[in-house]
Amino acid sequence: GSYGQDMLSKPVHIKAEKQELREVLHTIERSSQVKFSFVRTLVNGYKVTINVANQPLESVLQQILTPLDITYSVSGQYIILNKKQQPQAQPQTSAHQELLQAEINIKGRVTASENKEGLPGVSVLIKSTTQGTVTDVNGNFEINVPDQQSVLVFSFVGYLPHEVTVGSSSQLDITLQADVKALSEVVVVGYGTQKKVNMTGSVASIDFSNVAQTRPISSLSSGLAGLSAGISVKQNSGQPGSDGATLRIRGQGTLNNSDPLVIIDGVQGNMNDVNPQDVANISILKDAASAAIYGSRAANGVILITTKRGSKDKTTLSYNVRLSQQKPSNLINMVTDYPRHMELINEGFNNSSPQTGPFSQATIEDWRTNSAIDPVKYPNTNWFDWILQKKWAQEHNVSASGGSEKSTYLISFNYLNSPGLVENGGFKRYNARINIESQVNKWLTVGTNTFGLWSNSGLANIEDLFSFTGATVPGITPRDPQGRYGSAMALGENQQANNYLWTLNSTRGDIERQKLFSRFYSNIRFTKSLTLESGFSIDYDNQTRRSIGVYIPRYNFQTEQIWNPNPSTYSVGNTNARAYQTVLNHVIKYNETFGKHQISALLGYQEESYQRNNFSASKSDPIDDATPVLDATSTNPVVGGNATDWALRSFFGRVNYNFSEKYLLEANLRYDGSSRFASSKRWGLFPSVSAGWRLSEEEFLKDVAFINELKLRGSWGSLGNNSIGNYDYQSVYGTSNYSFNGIIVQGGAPAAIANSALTWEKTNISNIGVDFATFKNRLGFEAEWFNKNTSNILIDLPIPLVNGNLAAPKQNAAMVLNRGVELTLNWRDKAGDVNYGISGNFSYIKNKVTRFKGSESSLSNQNIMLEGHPIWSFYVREVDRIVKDSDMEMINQMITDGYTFNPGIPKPGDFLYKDLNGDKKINDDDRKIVDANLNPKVVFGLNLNADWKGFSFSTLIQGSAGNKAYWRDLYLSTGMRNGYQINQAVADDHWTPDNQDARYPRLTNYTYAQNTTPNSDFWLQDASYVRLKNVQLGYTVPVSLTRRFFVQRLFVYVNAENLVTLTPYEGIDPEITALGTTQTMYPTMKQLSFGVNVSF
Amino acid sequence: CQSDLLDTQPYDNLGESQFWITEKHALMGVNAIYNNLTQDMVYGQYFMLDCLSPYAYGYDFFEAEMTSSTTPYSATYSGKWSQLYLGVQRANDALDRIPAMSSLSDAMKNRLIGEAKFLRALHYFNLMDFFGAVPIYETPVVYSEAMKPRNTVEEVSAFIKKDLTEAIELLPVSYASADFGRATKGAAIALRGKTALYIQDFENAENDFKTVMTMTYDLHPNYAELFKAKTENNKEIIFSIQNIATAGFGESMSFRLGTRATRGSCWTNGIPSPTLVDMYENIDGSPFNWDKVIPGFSSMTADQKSVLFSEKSNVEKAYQNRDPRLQTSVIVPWAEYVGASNVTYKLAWPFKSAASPTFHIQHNWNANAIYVWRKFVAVGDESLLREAGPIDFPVIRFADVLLMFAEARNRRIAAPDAEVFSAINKVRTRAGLPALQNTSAAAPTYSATKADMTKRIIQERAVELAAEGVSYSDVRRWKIAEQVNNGPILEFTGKTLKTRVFQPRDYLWPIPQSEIDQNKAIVQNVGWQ
Repeated sequence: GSYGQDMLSKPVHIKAEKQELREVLHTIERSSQVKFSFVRTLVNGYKVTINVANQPLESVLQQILTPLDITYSVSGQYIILNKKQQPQAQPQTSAHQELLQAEINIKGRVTASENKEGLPGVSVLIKSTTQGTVTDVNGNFEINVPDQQSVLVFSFVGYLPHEVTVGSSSQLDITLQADVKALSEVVVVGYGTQKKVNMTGSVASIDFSNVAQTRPISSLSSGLAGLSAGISVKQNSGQPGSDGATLRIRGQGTLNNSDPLVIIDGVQGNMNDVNPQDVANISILKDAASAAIYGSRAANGVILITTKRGSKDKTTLSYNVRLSQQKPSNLINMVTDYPRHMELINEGFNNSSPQTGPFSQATIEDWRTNSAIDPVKYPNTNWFDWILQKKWAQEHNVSASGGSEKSTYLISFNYLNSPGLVENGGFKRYNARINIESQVNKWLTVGTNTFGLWSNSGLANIEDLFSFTGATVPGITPRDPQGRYGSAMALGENQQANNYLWTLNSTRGDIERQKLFSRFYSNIRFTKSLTLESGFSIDYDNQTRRSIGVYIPRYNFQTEQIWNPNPSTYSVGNTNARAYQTVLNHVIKYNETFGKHQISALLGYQEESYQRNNFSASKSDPIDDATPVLDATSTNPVVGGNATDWALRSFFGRVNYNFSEKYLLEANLRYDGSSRFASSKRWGLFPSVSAGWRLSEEEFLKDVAFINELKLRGSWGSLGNNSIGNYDYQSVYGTSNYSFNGIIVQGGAPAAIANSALTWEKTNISNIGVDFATFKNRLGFEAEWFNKNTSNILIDLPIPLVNGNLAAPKQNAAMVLNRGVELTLNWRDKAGDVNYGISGNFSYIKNKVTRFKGSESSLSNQNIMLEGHPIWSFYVREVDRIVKDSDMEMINQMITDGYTFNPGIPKPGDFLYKDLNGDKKINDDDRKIVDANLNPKVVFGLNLNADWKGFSFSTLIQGSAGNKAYWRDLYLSTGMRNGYQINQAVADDHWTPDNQDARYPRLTNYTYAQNTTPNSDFWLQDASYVRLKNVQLGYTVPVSLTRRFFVQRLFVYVNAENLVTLTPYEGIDPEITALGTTQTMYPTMKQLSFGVNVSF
Repeated sequence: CQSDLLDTQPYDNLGESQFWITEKHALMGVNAIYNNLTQDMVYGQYFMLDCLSPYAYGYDFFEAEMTSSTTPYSATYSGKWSQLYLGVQRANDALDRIPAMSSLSDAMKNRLIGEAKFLRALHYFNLMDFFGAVPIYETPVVYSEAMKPRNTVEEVSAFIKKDLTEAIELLPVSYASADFGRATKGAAIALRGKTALYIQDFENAENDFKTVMTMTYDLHPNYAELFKAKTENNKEIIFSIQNIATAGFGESMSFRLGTRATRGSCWTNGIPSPTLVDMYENIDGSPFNWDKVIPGFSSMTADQKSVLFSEKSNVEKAYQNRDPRLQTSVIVPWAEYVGASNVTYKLAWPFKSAASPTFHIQHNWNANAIYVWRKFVAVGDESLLREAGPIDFPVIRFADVLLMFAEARNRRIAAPDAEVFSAINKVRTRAGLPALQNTSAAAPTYSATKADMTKRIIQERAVELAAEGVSYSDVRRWKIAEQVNNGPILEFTGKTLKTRVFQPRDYLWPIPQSEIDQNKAIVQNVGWQ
């Protein structure tokens, strides 16, 4: 066409001396704004010398290419280079038809996966030959191949190469998948997609399609750790079925719910309900510009999850199986030698109050003598060894995808069976998905994303493991060889000491969950540039918990007596919680190019409504353990039930403009109304604007060879947050009943303290970023600076207790600033036969409360909120020393000098706290602010991968720095309590008259406050860490071997999670820390897994 | 599109604008103040407070307080303070709304105002008892403006007196049986007298108690029956917390004070101390003395005593011929107790087995030689739910009024007179003890002087009101806690369990630290800064 002729007449300036042909073509591409399409082998090895100025492209090409037997033709926006055909390989020449009878003629069309449009200029090559052709302007091609076994290789810049065995068909329709790693990557953004080069906001896109097939990730959120800059992932617990993680995008911006908004295939949802193996892509919208389209719920960032689709040209059936075993990545060493334990308890008690130690020396010696002889009667139990079981979990995943001209499908089925770490803690889940899309006619496409899950888990509440096991002693045999459970035996022992193994088994039942999600969508194409996308989804979630208490005796094996009499009353309980969610949306999209001006816009409406209800019933005295239903019970019925709901209505729009893909502009607007606010405070407007400038497209940089891509971008936007209770703004009266003379009467009282002035929390984010690619795109670099200011923060401020012991209302009270930088570096190359890649990411965040209550602070246990300091900074006294005998003279002098001490005057072995304010009163006024909190200042991840001849290796290292944790719980204390475990490190190095330089203070009764009660820096620890999160080694069996079994791909692997952790933190897990003193919670799991992936 | 999509209302609550309209709402609003009485730190676990007196001991509750090693951060203090103030706020809400309501008859309106004033006074009385001078809030206040400084004790007691004086005018003498448990005129007068007694206004205290004594109240003939569900509505009850055996509406006394033998397998969080047990007189009114029953007892070692107690015949005589209330309130060594499934157990020393043939009472202190409570603990299968027992908990009963009257009058006059003797003797006689007198100096019941009578009253209150939670307030208001609350807590063998500590600061609890942190106008109690 005329456009092609225009292209060939473009003036060219070029000077080259013995340069690679490829580089010369590349230079022409950039200086003349044309694009070449060719097979790499076509131009390899040729060197060119040319020196022209202001000559038409056509003549330049003739000069260069004709001597090399290379032809060129214009197709659409591409100039296609081809080997000058030998006579028999000239399919377009009818004169040669008769010579080709022995060959097979193949026709076909190549389309792009993202828009189903024909792709011009795709190279089509017969494998292992130099013969081939290219597609025309509509993506059509025609080629002759020698036989049915011939393999055609399709390749095109920005798309993944594709191979097809010809077989018996003469028509081949191929869809090329966009290569998301390339710079022409298309990124999923709110309500659409966008080319990465045209992005102006801050979006991290993670290709997740292969991650979950080989890593044992049962919850999607926990699998995100270390994969992207700006996102910190903190695993909550390793319990199967509830091992979801807490995600923070660019730090904790608010004081309440800081969870990002998760959108799964266009609908808000819980990412942990998605089968990780179904996920194709995850986009993380970090700045306001990209997130503002989600307005009021986007303040903590947005995570967009796209599940896999079928493709038109390729049918794949794959089966993945995995076996894995897990154990806690760390445990706390407790004293397991019971005689030693008893001595330490006595020591602590006697230090506080002489002669109150509960154990006689005879009891202790008796135990010491007999434990070797009869470990059932005289046990020295290591509880963790008993409780944590090592069993294999298995996961199977079958998925099939494919399609035809008009429709595509993906179906998958996943089965996970994890026996759990403790008895009665198993988890079984079935997960199924159907994604179907069908093009009904030219203008209408409809589709669905539907998935369901059914899971069943044991009642063991793993969160109890550590609290129960902290309150026990080594002197209990958990279970004897006959299966009988033990109780405390030593005279003087606390009879209440737990046997968690017994606890786990004395309630039977299960938790069953069903979830069904279905979204139906349609896409109406009015004109080429105007479409309407509509969708409606319903999400149904039903969870049922069934339990029955059963009587299991616990024995004192020394006396053979049953410790716990049959309480003769057991309860059968059923609870049921249901949630419904419906979402309706309509989005009109407009997309048009006017010369070099590209405009796209969208306008949308959405309404969402959420309802939850629950019902519970319990009744006592079942006929028997074997009749665990309510109808089999007789007494004391207790029932309850409630319901809540909330709704959101939104209008939103976006405009994108770019000039020649060089100057980029975008603006978003969302107007949200939430039922959670009073009608006068309900509506919020959330705008954003952003702009980008691709410097690498400018004339002055075009000739700079080492710059492949350089883009500057900046954005500003405002986002909201409404994470408060559904009815918090309303003053309401709830039931508060009483009885008179045996009859229950109704009472009504304020159910909560309400704040009717509640309104949106607002977050303004400014973002400046640079994208840079060099070394022929092998090195990619992104840097971002952001400033995230959250105002009107909805916060639970403590209120005066004279208001009564009701929960404090939320208030729009504070302003918090998060400012930081994020760096991402990617390197991908080939060395010999080894392909390798390195990617690193690093984020630094500074968190500061910028406005609160002026110079006034708010205190919550060890933490303080005060302007100028990070959110909930630590607020602690400073321990001067552990007082030695020789220090007592000084202490006495202090008393003489008028010092007072709170809680008390230190005795030898106690902490002496510093008088930081110099008022001679050593008390809580001496607390200081430590400018650190639970959240890391630095988060980083490093991903290395390499493959060589079918072998693949990848590893992920991840860590954080600057976060601290206050650890002083059941597992670390110098306060001895009868019936509770004792930390081995404390046992080994606490103060005694003979150990004056001890690490820990002296042992005392746990009620003694001096060392354990005041919040002090002694118990504050640095929880920075570096963790080898994942290592994986895999091997792909060569296709030549597997093909005869009809297997396209056979991949076997071994994978290890959380293998090594380096940290100064002594608690159970630096990744799992919390506000408060209790840090011993379910840690991350060390997992080892083996698996096989087979595709047909 | 649904036009009211965003107008959601809670399903389980009524909006503020929909409440305080009908008579039912007014009743509900007042009932909710009664409901607050059942909170743990109001009256729900009030019986556990005996652990802070010399007469009881326990674990899980008040452990650090027993050794005076708490700080103002302790949840005990913030719990007590905030739970009591919640009652005040509910009463303020009712007293702010009900007078303006038009849907009520004047009679009902007056009664409800009277009830609300009584209940507000009861909450403030407890605040004053534990914290001393507290800020007075008498109208609803915006939560962020609740920043008043402390009033003085005089102002607080005057405020309580004013509320009660108004309540006395408004409240009925009694109710129809369905409303048993509501505040009455008698309850308000008795509480006003108690308030006066606590601030040592003995004259007004005496007058109010005297008024109550002229009303229809009387002692229930049988002390043991007082604490049983089936006889709980008797003439002796002036005001009690109403409990029934339904989850959420019952007491946990069996759970906290009962043993493993008690139905539901209970925890024995609180136990009576040997100090209390030894206070029960001999049946002739003379003080109990171990050495008189078991010669040489006081000079025996703990090990020797342990051997002694291991034989029923050695020690049973020590518990015979005593104030009958001893065995009614306490299970002593080798005494029997009918537990779950009507099995008869006994409190053995040392414990061997809960099973046949020994049937020893098993409890969470089996290594220790301790007494356990019988008072308030369910027998057999009479209470099915260990944490929802049916027994009403007495706040003020007539025996208490009689003893407070005797105390107030004894403090006011030079020596105990007939009125004093009459009051205390009613309580003693009901229990089965001989009357005190000032005529026969040789008899063990002779108590002629003011000091003698004071001693008798201390003793009588300890044994009569055991496990009712008031002993802790008694030893504090008499300012004797430093003498009686310091020293070892013993097992019955004399072995030390723990050392009890009481410092001068402990006469009042600290204002919770978080209140001080927020409200700079509040000054901490002495000794707690």
